Amino acid sequence: MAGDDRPGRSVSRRRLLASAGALAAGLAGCGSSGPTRTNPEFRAADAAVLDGLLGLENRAVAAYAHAARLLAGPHQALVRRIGVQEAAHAYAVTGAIYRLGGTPTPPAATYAFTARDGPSALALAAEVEDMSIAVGIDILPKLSDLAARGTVVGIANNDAQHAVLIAQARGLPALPTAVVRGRA
Amino acid sequence: MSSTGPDPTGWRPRRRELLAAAGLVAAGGLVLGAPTPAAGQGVRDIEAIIGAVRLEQALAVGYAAIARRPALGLDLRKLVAHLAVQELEHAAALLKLAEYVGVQPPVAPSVAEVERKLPAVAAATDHAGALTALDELERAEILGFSTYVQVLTDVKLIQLVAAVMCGDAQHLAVVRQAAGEDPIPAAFETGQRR
Repeated sequence: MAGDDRPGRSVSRRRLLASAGALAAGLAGCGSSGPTRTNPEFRAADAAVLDGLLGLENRAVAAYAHAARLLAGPHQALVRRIGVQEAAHAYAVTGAIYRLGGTPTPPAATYAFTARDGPSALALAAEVEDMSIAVGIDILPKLSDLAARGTVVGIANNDAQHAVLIAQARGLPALPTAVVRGRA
Repeated sequence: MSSTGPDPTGWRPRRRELLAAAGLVAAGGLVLGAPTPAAGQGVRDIEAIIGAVRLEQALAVGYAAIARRPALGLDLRKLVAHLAVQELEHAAALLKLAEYVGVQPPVAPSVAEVERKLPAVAAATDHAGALTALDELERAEILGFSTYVQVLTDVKLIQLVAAVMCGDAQHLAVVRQAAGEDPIPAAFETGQRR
């Protein structure tokens, strides 16, 4: 039975709830007692940090659209799929900026990419993911807003997974490094 | 908590996730310990890094044990062995930072201890069982580290935990592939079950 495999299955429910309660109390305390939720300066700073990430995400969407035009078959399907997820990242970051009272910078009218064939399209995709991971990790501690941190974590993790699929498409090892920092 | 309502795209720990993290905590203190809410921020960070090191050590030991089980088949054994090495590298990176902040390195647990406290490791005796265990353990890591990233204060620690978590997210994608599943089922990887 799948449920029996769960870590901590044999531990009493009371202990579990006590630990969860302590963790929840800590998180609630972090979220509500500090100045980060209400201080307009913190919110504006968070929005500005996220706007930098949004610029990258918008570029990623454009890069994947460019790459899709240079590829065919399964590789084209892959970059289209990843492009949709990059668009979801951009939407999420846009929403977070609005929630923090900021104004998202719109995407550029055009982006310049040098990729001209399939291999260089996949190299572009790898470069996009590397940069997104690096920037996501870099900005995490700069964010005071916990929900924004959560959004960035989800994005960085997903971008790391994209990097695996792109590496496989390029015939490279899927898991070359244990600690994945990306490259800005 | 925020009064702005749930972020439709972002992630926020929910009761079920807190319970999952607590389940790991309660697994004999072997893995992620919940940072003490009442503790000072520095103490909370130190507790967190010790918990994270213990988790990575436990998974390195557990994965190495799983990789030795012939019923998994050669390909999966190779993959699990590679994951074991990378979990060890996660532990080493975290230990380096732990020593920097003056933390005594935890002693790595024995296989028997890991199997007792992480039943998924003990249950991973065949191909399907191993894939189930890997999926569960990698998601638990991501879930736990996601929580950590929200409560930690030290910049280097946050960034290292995030980089380790990205590694675990990659493991999860590869494990899903090995199971014949979609490696990227959602645009936000939080370790939650899909």
